[in-house]
Amino acid sequence: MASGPPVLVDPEISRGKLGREIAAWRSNEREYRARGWLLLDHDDLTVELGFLGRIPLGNGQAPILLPAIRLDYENYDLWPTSLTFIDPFTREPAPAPLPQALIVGDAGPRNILLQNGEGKHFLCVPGTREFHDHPQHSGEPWALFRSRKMGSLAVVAERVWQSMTQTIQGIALQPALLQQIQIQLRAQQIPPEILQQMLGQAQNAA
Amino acid sequence: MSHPHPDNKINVIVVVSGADQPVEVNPHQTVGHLAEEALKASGNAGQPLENWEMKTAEGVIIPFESHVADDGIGEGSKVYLTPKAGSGG
Repeated sequence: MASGPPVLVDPEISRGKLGREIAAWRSNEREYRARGWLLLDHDDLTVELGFLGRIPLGNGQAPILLPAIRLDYENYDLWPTSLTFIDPFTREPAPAPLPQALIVGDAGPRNILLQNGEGKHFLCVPGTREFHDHPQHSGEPWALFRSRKMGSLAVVAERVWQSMTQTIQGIALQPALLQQIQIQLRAQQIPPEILQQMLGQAQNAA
Repeated sequence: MSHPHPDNKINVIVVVSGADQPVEVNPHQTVGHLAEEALKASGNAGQPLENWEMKTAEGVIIPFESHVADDGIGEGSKVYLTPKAGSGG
């Protein structure tokens, strides 16, 4: 029998709270779809989300699903939700599909994509279980953030969209000379706030 | 269907951390005032605005110091108020 996390909150209570999150999501689903946020699945205490972005391709733009995540709500909201990157085809846990997740703060862009001791990629932001369990954030317990709904479905979706999907500005071809000539595809990431500044500067210079 | 108020207030939906919060506001007020009203109505009274950000449906930040009418927020509009990412990384 598989051992899961200890049951500290009656699953019926967590289920009820998640049900309210899903209802709130449904109330804004049309706007979220326009952003490219897709609710892929909802089962008991888990939710799977996918994030559609656009990349330039030829004379047009092609949709790209990046990333897909699973959120686990065991012991919610005594515990915050746990975020796992998944393969959108198999729905199995997978490495993060980008090398970084960028958030712009007062000190400029910073990467919030880290790996824990088991090699799992996670977003190191308040509202995710992985952040509050991280030894570097022992002084920032979940209880300090819970009232602001930092772990709500929409807020976590916003963090993923902002730091990953919205940073994709294109795919670059990079020839690499190893044993043979190879072409590497690498995502070009720029936070939207920085891109906006760059476009503004370019317009002013023109 | 909702109608504009006789005192020129408008009805706006502020989505606070994912949950709809209806707010009445005068369009000449600042977006910061709209955010404070939404926080108060959603049980988040007294929280500093610097910890939050207001965005359009497209995800564009709406400055708190701008005015409701100047940002195209009208009767029945929906805007999104989300806690900032804060520390991390």
